[in-house]
This record gives sequence, structure tokens and C-alpha cells, in this order.
Amino acid sequence: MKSFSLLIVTALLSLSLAGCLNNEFSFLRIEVNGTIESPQEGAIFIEFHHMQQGEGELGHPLGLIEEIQTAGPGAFDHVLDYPEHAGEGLLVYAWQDTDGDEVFCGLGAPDELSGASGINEELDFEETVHVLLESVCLGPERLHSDHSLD
Amino acid sequence: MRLHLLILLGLALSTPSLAVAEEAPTNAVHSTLTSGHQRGEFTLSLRGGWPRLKIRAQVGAGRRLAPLVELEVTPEWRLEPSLGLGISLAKSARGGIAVEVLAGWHLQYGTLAQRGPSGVVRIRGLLTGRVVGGWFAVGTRHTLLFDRTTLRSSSGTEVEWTPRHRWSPHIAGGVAFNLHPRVGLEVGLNMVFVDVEVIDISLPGFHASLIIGIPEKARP
Repeated sequence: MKSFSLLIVTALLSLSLAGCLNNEFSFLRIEVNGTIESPQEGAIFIEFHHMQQGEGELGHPLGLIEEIQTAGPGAFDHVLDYPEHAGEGLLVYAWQDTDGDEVFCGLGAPDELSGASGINEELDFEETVHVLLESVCLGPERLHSDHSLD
Repeated sequence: MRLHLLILLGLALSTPSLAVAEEAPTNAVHSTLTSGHQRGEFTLSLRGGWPRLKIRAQVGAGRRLAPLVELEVTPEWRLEPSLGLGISLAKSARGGIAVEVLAGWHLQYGTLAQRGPSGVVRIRGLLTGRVVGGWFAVGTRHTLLFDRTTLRSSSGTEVEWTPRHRWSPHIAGGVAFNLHPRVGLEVGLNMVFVDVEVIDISLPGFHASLIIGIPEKARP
């Protein structure tokens, strides 16, 4: 009976050392104060991406965090819960829906403008971004290289 | 159903005399599979097989209770140590039914690593002759996996723990051999339904256990 009690104590000790935390998620709440500059009128679709997601062989550029929409060019404020555990850097990409079809550069539709602004430094509780829409029909994948971490 | 009756009939016929069986002392196999609760009873079961291995010990504490400890291992995947209590619901020399309640820990390794407290409830039954018996076990394992979410903002840091529930029921059955009052062998098939509605795989297995111990004393 004494050895059985010892076995129980050993098992309990092992359990307490094992811990119970599985996934750990860490978010940084950022107040993004931004301006979108465009020579045209039309709704703006804004996407917040990581500059880089994943590690090692599974690492890849970009990774959508959140998408919002504004009525047109100008200032915008947004509270972004940035997932620190999932990647690094912040890319703010925007495109303008000039023809109102909610499709960026759809087939047979007129060209539309896009632009991006990247933040590679350590992010703070407040960030200011300025996005100039001057590229024609370029997605975040193409514009990302202009702001990449390398 | 007809097959079940045939199996039960076969077990009954394997016993030379049920009357003798009633008077015979129990053995280590009987004690293990029916939560031997008499003070002084002790059994150790070493199970090998695929994909799970198990080591299990129980000791009789009287009042139909048998504290037990078990460690179930799925090599390179899971480690599940548990402490519990076996409760004998019905028992005779011909067999018995017991319920086991265990609390423990669940550790899974690899890319889908998991760790957290788990609980098991299991019903075991045995119908046996002098040498050969049949047994079954039906159980359910519930595990809680905790995640921690930290939100840092200009107004401070918030930490939230959120549990995820995993349910893995299991069934098993087989044949037990009373080789000696203190030594027995048990072979069987088992099936675990792993993390129902999440991973959702049915993992069949087979096993053989060596059972040794000090069984219940002979009835007068």
C-alpha cells in the first residue's frame, strides 16, 4: 500500500509538470490612423496583411488579417487586433472600386488603382499610414516586394 | 445478437461445472476485470499490442472500491496517465460488472500537439469459467485543451483562457485465460474513436495483456 501511494504521488507530480497550455495567441491592438490618396473618386477597399507569415519552409509573404471598406479617398481610423503570433510586419494595401462592381480590375472593366504602405519596424499601439493609389491593377503580391522585410 | 448468444453459450460450456466455479476462488484475471475490491487484492496488468500499450495497477480498498492507476501510451503520439477508482457493481465467481472513473492527463506530441486534463468513465464486464472467460469494456474519454489569448492594448493587457473539448469514446472486448490464481492472460480487440467531430478517426487495435496479482481469497 505504501508503494502504491508513492506511485500516485509520482504520477501527480508528473502531471503538474506537464502543464496544460496548448496554443498561445498574442494580439496587439493597434489604432491605425491612415490616409488614402487617389486622383479618382470611388469606394476604397483596404486590406491589412502581415508582411511575412509562417517560419522556415512554411514561411510565405503576406497573410490577410482583416479587410475594411471606406466611402472614398481621405482619412480613416481603424482598430486592428494584430496577431503577433502569426507573422511579422504590417502591409496596408488599398484599391479603389472606380466602377462600383466590387471587383478589382474585373474582365472588360476599366483599370483601377491600387497602392500599399508597409511597416517593417516593431509595431506600436498607434500607427500612421499613408497609401498613395498610383499603381494600375496591381495586387498586394506585386506591391509587397516594394515593402518586403529583406 | 445470435452470435452473442453463441459466444456466451461457448463460455458457459467451457466451464466444466458452474457449481464448481461458484465455489472456486477468484483469480488475478477476475480481479482485474471486475475491479477486485477486497482488501488485500492487488493486480498489475501489462498490455502490449498495436497501436496502444498500457500499464495498469489496482488495489482493493473494501466497500466495493478499488483505486487504480493506469498509463496508456500510443508510441510517438499520445501519453495518457490516469488515476481512478473502480467500483464493483456486481460480482460473483462467474464474473462481474464494474464501472471505473478516472481523472488524468492527456499529452499528444507532434504537429498536432495537445495537453490537458482528461476524464474517463468506463464500464467493464466479465463472464468467466474456470479457465476461459469473455470480457468487454465500453468507455468515454473527455479532454479539455486550454488556449491562452493575450491582447495588449494602450489600456493594458488582457489574458483569456479558453477551453476546447475533445471526446474520444472507446470499446473493447476479448478473451481472458486464467493460467494460475495469480497469473492470467487477456487478449482482445479495441477501437478508439479519436476526437469525435474534430480529428474524427476510428483507430482499431489489438492487444494482449499479462495479468499478475493477488486475487480475492477463496470464499468459504
